[in-house]
Parts: sequence; structure tokens; C-alpha cells
Amino acid sequence: MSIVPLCMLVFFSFADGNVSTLNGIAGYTVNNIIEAFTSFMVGKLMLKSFGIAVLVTLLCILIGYPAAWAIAKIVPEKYRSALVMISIIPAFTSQLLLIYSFMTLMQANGLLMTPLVKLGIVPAGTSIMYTNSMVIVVLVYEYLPYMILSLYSCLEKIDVNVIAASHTLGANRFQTFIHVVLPQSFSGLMTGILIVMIPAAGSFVEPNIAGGPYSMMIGNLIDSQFTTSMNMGYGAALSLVFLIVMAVTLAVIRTVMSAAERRIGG
Amino acid sequence: MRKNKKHKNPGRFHAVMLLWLGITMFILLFPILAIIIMSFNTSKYGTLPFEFTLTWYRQLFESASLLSATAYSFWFSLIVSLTAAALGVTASLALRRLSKKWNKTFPTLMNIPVIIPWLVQAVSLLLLFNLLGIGKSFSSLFFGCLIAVMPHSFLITYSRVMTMDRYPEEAARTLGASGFRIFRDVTFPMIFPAVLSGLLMSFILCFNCFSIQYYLAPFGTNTLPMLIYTTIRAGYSPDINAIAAILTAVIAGIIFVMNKAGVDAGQLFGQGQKEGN
Repeated sequence: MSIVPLCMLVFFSFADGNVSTLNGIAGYTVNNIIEAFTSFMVGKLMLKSFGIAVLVTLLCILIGYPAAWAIAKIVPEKYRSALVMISIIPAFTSQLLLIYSFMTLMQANGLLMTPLVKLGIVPAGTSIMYTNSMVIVVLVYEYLPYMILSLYSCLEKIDVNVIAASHTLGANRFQTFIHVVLPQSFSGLMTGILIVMIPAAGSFVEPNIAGGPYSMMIGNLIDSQFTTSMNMGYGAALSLVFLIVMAVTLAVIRTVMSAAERRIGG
Repeated sequence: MRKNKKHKNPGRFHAVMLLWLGITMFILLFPILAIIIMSFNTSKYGTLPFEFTLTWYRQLFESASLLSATAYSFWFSLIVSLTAAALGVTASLALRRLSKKWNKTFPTLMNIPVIIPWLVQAVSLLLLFNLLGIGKSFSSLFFGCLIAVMPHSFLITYSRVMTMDRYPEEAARTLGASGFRIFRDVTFPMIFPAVLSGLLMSFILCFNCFSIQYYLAPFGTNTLPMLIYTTIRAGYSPDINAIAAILTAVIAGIIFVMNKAGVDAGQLFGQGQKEGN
């Protein structure tokens, strides 16, 4: 159902100016597409957005993998569903409330900064609010539950006996992780990457609220074409470029992952 | 116990992992807990020191805007998720009768929107609705949200329909039950847990999907996420703390119900890739 409008993005990219309710498409032009593909600023924003998205995904994996492993295999079974439920609560909470609560926490004189200032760790009045790092931290906080949950659903199915067998055969912890656990968690990792990286690359709310004047991402540029500068044809062309870059990035990640899988799994 | 000889400190490794898990859970929950605490704090800007008050709750229930936005979001999401559930059940049952080829293609097609950022989905829907001449209106908001949540609701129901036991239905048919009767007395009760969790999942997604609402809601309509967005951009507002505390409690309740309905909630997020099997 939503594939139809997505395919029609190609068509709308040729629209000149706005697509309004009254007049529909006023005229056709190729300038939007040329502009979107060749503009230096678009390229820079695209690179920045996907850079942030990759960084956020890596941080989520680094933090989430051990946590998911601990829920799936170390914690006694009776506490497992409670822990899963705890990780779902932020995943089901409105994105805006999460950003808001995180900002409340991070503000100067907030619940986190006050003790840090009192202990002398940071000078008074400082905060990472309204910077690029704040955007990254907020995004990690927002998408960490998704990563944990998708890794958990995969790690949970790994047979402990296989790990025990690997230990018995003389592998140490690191070797067991690389050759036994990691290959079996590739599908969960891929799902996690998909549900973290894609929305993170296309985020526009976080830079708008938690970021400062230099935190603009490609999502903001697309958003502004529809809300402020009212150039919908150009917005459609930008979305199209965004989808293409995303598809390429995902294809690269998929290739790297399957190469790694063949290397260590076989 | 050769294992223990090989690894000098299995206990220490486990302890480190558990500590890591504890810290992660703390990071996940602390901001939410903090905002609940702050909803009882006198400070207007969510700053310390802490002094207990219920002012913000009173303000929340006295000022109409946040409450009416919540009510609007609630009823709207309920209608959308019920429609999505009905469509999901119909589509799954219809798909079961079709050939293998359809059963491979259709879920894959349904999966595609799941990996498109909501911003792009919202934008493309807005363009389409503008072209059709309905623009920003209730019907475009409704269909936009329905399209956005439909895949999630469908995939949960579909995976249950495909794995369920077919014999009870055949037995009912042999005993002469009509098609509707089979659905009402046999099929539906069997898939009910999946339908319920699909319903709750799409309810929550619809309630929260800010991007779609932001682009498609008619002028003058405020859903809760939209109102929060405009409020935060204008500055700090403590009655949001109060509504956040209430919503968190409701969400915890919904997750608890889903858990009781027999859905392994941990599996909800692992489904994206598996084409619903």
C-alpha cells in the first residue's frame, strides 16, 4: 500500500515547485533532480547524516550486545521476561517524550548535571545541550532498546550446549565468541542495524529540538522543503536521493556482513 | 567440569556482564524515572532541589489542551488499530488460501515499508494526497497512519495464521459448520492472542508516529505528539512531565497485557527480516 506513494516519488521529483491541493502539479522540470544529485551541500549533509547513523548504530551494538547476551543467557530464567518488558517500555514510549525526558536530564541544573557539578567533574553551567554530540547521544538512547530486543530475540535461540562444546574442545572465550556465538547472531544483528540505522539517518526531530544551529541533518533539509520553503518537488527529489544512498549503504553493509559470515562461519 | 579449569574466572565474567546489563537498564530507565520524579517537583524547569507538589497534575487536568490532545490521539489510534487488525486478519486468512508464490511475495512486499524512514513515508503520502486533492485532512491522516501501522499488525497475525493447526477447522467443516461459524468459533479464538498483540502494537505505533501526524493532520488538529513537539520547541513545560508519567504507566500496563496474552514480546522486534514465518 505504501509502496505506491514511494514509487511515485520518482514522478513527483519532476514536479516544478509545489504540489498543492488545488492545482496539483503546476509544471515539470528536471532541475530538482539535477540539483539534488549535484549540490555540494546535499552531499555534505548526506555524508554527515549517514556518518551519524553508522556511529549511532555502532554505539548501540557495543552497548546492546553484552546487555542482550546477559538477558538471554546469564540472568536466571524467571527474571528474563521482566527485563525484556523493561527494555520494551522506552521502545513503546513516544519518541518526543524520550527526547524531552533526556533533555530534562541533561540540562544545566538538571537531575544529572547537578550532582556532576557538585562532585567537581564538570564546571558549573556546562551542558552538551544543543550540540551535535547531544543529537548522537539522544539517538543512541532512543534506539538502544530496539537493538537490544532484536539481538536478544536472536541470541536467545543459541544452544548453550554448543558453547559448552566449544569450551570443551579448547576454545577460549574470545574464540568461542567469534566462531560460535557471533555467526549465529548475524541475523539479529542485521535486523538491529536495519531498525536503528534507517530511522537514525532520516531523523529530523532530534536535530530540531535537541540540536543547535549546526546540527542540521538531511531529514531537516527534506522537512524544510515541505514546511517552510514549500518546494515539494525538490523535497521529493531529495527523498529519492536519500533512499538511493540508503539502499547503497545497506547493500554495502550486507556484503560486508555476509563476507564476514563466510570467513568466520565456514 | 573441565570448563571451569579452562576459564579461570567464569564467575567474574558473569559478574561483569550482569553489571553491564544493570548499567544499560539504568540508562534506559533513568530519564523516564527522572521525568516521573520531576512531575512531583515544584521547580518549573525540572531542576533541583526537589520539593513535593501535585500542582502540575492539577494544571494538567485544568488546562484543556493536553487532555483533549491525548483524548484525540487515543480515539484516533483506537480506530486505526482496529481497522488495521480487521484488515490484517482478513488478509492473512485470504493469503492462506492462495498459492505458495503469493505467500512468498506478499509478506515481502508488506515488509518493505518497515524499512523506509517515516519521514520519507510521510512526505510521499503528503504528495500523493495533495495530488488527489484531499491534502491535509482527517481522511489523509487516517489512511496515512493506517498504511504506516498495517505491516506491523499484519505480520504478527500472519505468522500466527501460518503456524496454526488446521485440523480443528477441518473437523468443524466436516461436522457441517458454516464458514462464518468456523471463523467465529474455531479460527478466531485460535489466533486471538496474535490479533490482540498486533492490535496493541499498532495502537502504540499509531499513537506515537509523530512524523506521519505532523505532515498529514489537518490544520487546527493537535495530536499529543504534535502538541508536545510545539510545546518543547517553545520551552520547558512541567505539565508534560505529568502526562509523561501517566502515559508511561499506561504503556507498562499494555506491555504487561501483551505478555499475559502469551506473546513473547522479545520476538516482536526480531520479525522484520523473517518474512513472517
